[in-house]
Amino acid sequence: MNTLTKTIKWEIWYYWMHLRYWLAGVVLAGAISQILPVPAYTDIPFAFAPVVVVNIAFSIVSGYFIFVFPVAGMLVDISSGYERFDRLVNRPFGMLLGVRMLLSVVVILLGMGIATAGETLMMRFATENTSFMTFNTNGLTTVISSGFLLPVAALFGYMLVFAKRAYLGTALTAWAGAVIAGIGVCALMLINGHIPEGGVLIAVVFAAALAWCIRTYNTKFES
Amino acid sequence: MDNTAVSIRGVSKRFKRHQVFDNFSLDLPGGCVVGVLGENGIGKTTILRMIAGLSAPDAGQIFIQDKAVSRHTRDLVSLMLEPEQIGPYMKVSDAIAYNGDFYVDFSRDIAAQLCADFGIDTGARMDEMSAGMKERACLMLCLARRAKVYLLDEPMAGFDPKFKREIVKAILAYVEPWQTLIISTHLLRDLDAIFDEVVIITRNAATSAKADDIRDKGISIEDYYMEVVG
Repeated sequence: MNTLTKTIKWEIWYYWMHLRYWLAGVVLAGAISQILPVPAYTDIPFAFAPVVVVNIAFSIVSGYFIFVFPVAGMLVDISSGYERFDRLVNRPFGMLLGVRMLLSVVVILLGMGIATAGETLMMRFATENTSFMTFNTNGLTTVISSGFLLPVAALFGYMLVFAKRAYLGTALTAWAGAVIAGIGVCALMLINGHIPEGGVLIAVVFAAALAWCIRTYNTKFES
Repeated sequence: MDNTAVSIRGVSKRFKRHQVFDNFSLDLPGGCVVGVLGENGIGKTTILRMIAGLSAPDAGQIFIQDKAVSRHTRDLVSLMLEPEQIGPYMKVSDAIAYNGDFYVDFSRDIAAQLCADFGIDTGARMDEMSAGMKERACLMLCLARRAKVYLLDEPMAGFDPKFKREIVKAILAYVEPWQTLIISTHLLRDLDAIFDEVVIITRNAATSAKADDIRDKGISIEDYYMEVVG
């Protein structure tokens, strides 16, 4: 094997190690959505209904695959240069970067596939209970249009955890901005009467992710 | 015949306001164990990073066996990594496979032997290992290569006294006469017995001496170091 082939082999491995849990999550969410019956709209709080959980799970994963992983990975690659062991190998940095960019395209396509699969699953809810028709069933559109805040926030979370300490201030500021923006969007949703519970759930995810990042920051850099 | 392993020629390096080196030159001999000593912040780690090609000098050049440092000289140099430079998701066996794929001089047999000697579980993930075990894994990956030059930055830090002796034993067992081992350290008493050459870096200057000449004077390398740095 030449250096390029070895680089592709190990980069696929590296991508798999990073993305497998996300894939497991979306497979699990898909399976749950198929097993559980569609609850009556009035029986349980809407925020806990499988339709919301599935939609959010697919939106998060596809958003991560489309926006976060490729962009954040590239930013970390460019910003941290030859810091890691995989950059100590005798090969042009452009080779590693090029392979990662090409694999990122594959990951983006995978993300789009996941969003479309989520959309198909959502149609089941839509056909079984017409009240769900009002819920946005176009997964890809949801992710790309209204779901952009979550990937943006996750992007800075990723930077916070994996980037160098010099970026922490920037990442924290951006995180705070993203959370405030997310709360603002939720408030607008509430005012306009659009899926307020879904908005609240997104805010909860924001807060949990932020708490996780702060905890990681403390253990990673302060010990 | 020139026995220089690493030649640093007129190197300058600045970190923001701190000028670490200004037109600094130094030759490190080959085929021996060289101790690079100096106070904190004097530039020992910077020198090792520049030799490894991880950090570029602002001016001047560094040569490894007459080859200017570039990505190609990475094949000549085996740097002991810091644990955080290896992905936390990697098992030790993954790291061995990775190095085996990319470095033609990496010996899987020596890696297996070192894992046995150092008590490293090859199935363990880096993020599941104790700090000391991670350091052992890094040292194992470094010594398993048959490189011309080894670079070890504070290899004894974080190890218990028993394992420090294991390291000395491993160095004596696996590093051959044609190889050069450059060790930056503050822990002189742990390593002074294996130094062939001592280089003490003071502000933008270096003092070199043969370790045997120091010992012949009846003083320890630590005493000599104290004499030089005042």
